[in-house]
Parts: sequence; C-alpha cells; structure tokens
Amino acid sequence: VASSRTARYIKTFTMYVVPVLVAGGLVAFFSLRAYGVLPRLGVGPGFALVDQAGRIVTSEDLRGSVVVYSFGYAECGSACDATYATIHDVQARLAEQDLPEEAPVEFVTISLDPERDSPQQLASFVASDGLAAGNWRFLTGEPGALETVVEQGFEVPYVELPDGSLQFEPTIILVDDRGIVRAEYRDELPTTSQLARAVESVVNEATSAGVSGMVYGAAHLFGCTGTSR
Amino acid sequence: LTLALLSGLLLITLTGCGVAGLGEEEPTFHGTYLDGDQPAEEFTLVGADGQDVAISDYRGRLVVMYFGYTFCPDVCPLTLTKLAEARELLGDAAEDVQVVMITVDPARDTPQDVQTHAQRFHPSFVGLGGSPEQLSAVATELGIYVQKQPGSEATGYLVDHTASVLVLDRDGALRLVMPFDQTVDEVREDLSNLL
Repeated sequence: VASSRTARYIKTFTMYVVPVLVAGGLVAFFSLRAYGVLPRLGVGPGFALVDQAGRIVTSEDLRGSVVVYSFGYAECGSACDATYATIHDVQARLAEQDLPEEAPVEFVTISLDPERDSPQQLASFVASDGLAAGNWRFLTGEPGALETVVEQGFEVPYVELPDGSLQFEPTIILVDDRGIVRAEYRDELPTTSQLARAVESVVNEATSAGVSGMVYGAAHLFGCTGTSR
Repeated sequence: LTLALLSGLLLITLTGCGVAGLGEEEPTFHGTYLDGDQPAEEFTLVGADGQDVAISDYRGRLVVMYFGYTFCPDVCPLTLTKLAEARELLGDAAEDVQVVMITVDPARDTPQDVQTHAQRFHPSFVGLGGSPEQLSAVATELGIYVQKQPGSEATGYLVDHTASVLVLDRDGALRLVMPFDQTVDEVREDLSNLL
C-alpha cells in the first residue's frame, strides 16, 4: 500500500508540479530576457556642479531620474559631433515613445574644460548649435571638483594637447533613478537603438512595482542580467 | 517516468535563474543590491592615531560606511544610532560587521574627532579623516555629493551630503546601498543577508 501511494505521489508530482515548475521557469526566463535587465555596475559619482543657466545641479537632485551622461566642451568641434548626434537622436526617439513619467529621462553633458566653459559660455554655445534643448543640459564647475568628478568618478581620462584641444574617448554612461551605473559605453559609442533600448529598460524597471518589480529584484540577485549592447 | 523527471530537472536547471527567482525563500534586500562584477574597493584614509588606514584592512568582515561630520545636526546622529542598534540585533554576528564613519568636513574634523564622535554611538565604530583631496576623491567615487551651506551663528556652516549607507561585502566589493530612510530592522535584515 505504502509503495503504491509513493508511486501515486510521484505520478502526481510528475504530472502537475514538474510541468508547472518548468512552465514557470520558462515564463520567468523569457520575461527576464525580454526585459533585458541591465546589471548594477556600481554607484554613479556624487557631484555638485552648475548647468548652462547657472543653476546648481547635484547628483542628489537627479535621483528619481534616469540619466544619460556624456562628455564634451564648447571648443570641442567635430570630435564631439558623434556624441552629440547620438544624444540628440536618442532624445528624439524616446520623446516619441510613451515611457512612464515617474522616472523621467535626463541627458547631462559634462564639460571637460571648466577653465573656458563658464555657464555663460556654455549657454551661448548650446544656443548657437541647437544643443541641450528640453531634458538635455550641460554642466560645468570649479576645475578641481570637475576633474575629480570626471576622472575619478566617471573614470573618463583626458589630456590637454599643445594646441589647447582635449583628447578623450567619447563616453556615455547610463545611471538609474537610484544613482546606480547600469551601462557604460567606453570604447565605442552605442547606436541610437542600443542606447534607447537600454534607457527604456532602466525606466521600465524603475517604474515597475508588485510582481514585476519582484522579478526585477530577483534578476539582480541571481545574475540574470542582459547586455547593454 | 524517470526520463520525464530527468528531463524536467534538466529544464529546470537550464532555466534555473528564472525558477530560483520565483522561489519565496530567497533573500530580498531593502537596499539596492549591486549584482555586477564589483572590484574590491581600494582607498586609503587617515585613522585616529594619524596612521594611514586602507579600507582593505577590514577585508573579511562587512564594512558599513557612512559619510558624515561631527557638527552634523540631525541626519548623522540618527543614522549612527540606527547602525549601532541594527548591529546589536545581529548578536554574535555583529563581530563581523565594521561600521566606519568617514568625514565630509575635513576642515573642522580631524580623524581623532571623527573617531571620538563615532564611538559615542558604539565603541566598535571607527572614524576616518584625511586631506580634503583624499576625502573628495573617495566621496565622489562612492556617489556621495558634498556641498557646504551657510548655517546659523550657533552651528557654523553646514555640509549637505548624500546620506546613503554603503556596504562592502567580505571580499571588499561594494554590494549594497541603503537609503537614509531604511529602518533599524531593515538594516539588520540586509546585513544579516550579506553575512
């Protein structure tokens, strides 16, 4: 009797529990894949800088927003074109989409040339080039503080060449609403769709709640994360 | 039957990350858990005796870092009290938790001041200071913004700063960022999950 009962348990287990577990696993696996959850790579730098309008902007002010950081300066010329074009295109593409508003997207370009880029200088530069409209702004600051933020915080090295221009790798860094770095593009700029997808994924995660929020939490604990490319 | 079981197990293993994620027994964190490949944090500050202290000196234990200053009127004492209470609740495991207070106000706080202040909350706490350059680099890298604000004549200037608590795991990698508003119990739970 005991062995037939055991057999029945095994049969019930095989018929119901296993398929449910497998189906659950598949659903979770594919929904995570679909979400493309980006790993939490580290904390974004802390800073207090000023924007082109002279307003103080701190890393703390940007909590709650998903921020796309890039680097440039007013006299940069064509060396920054690719970066600005990427930001501009992603900004336009995201504006067309119906992203949840609870975690607004912001674009922040940090000046590498605080000696020359005063807020006024940046303001006239962005106005003449049609940059930094809407949710895109440029930040500058006191040279020592800015250097710490760029080189030690964002880990973007740059050197001044004899002709006064600055040499650096175009870099884009995506920081989520909690101030955590979620994607870094250092060797090569992302395509418009790569970056737009990454931003979207982070915004969706930031605004997820309940079960879907738990799925995201679990994804981080079990290393079920995707790639930002 | 065996075949069905085996193939079921295989599928579960293959989709293991999804299934494990659905389990209810798994730890969840109140703070933000960092899942990426985190390198161990490496930086050096100055201890109360004036000697250099590398953060890696505490490797093997959880390092709970709080940035504050001794003149701090409200947020810092609250957080240090909370950390002391949460640590006590861990019982014997508290031995494996090192709370470190790092000053954001090197102009007024010597390393000895920070240590004395921190130890008012618990004798096991450590206080670290250093040069303005050293401290600004460490704070920036760890996501702590620092800005002086005019205060009253009684308080002197104030220092606005990020009030999150950062936790390094036993290997020295940054694993958890706990927001200021986490309760004592939530802090205890998170630390105990990391231990």
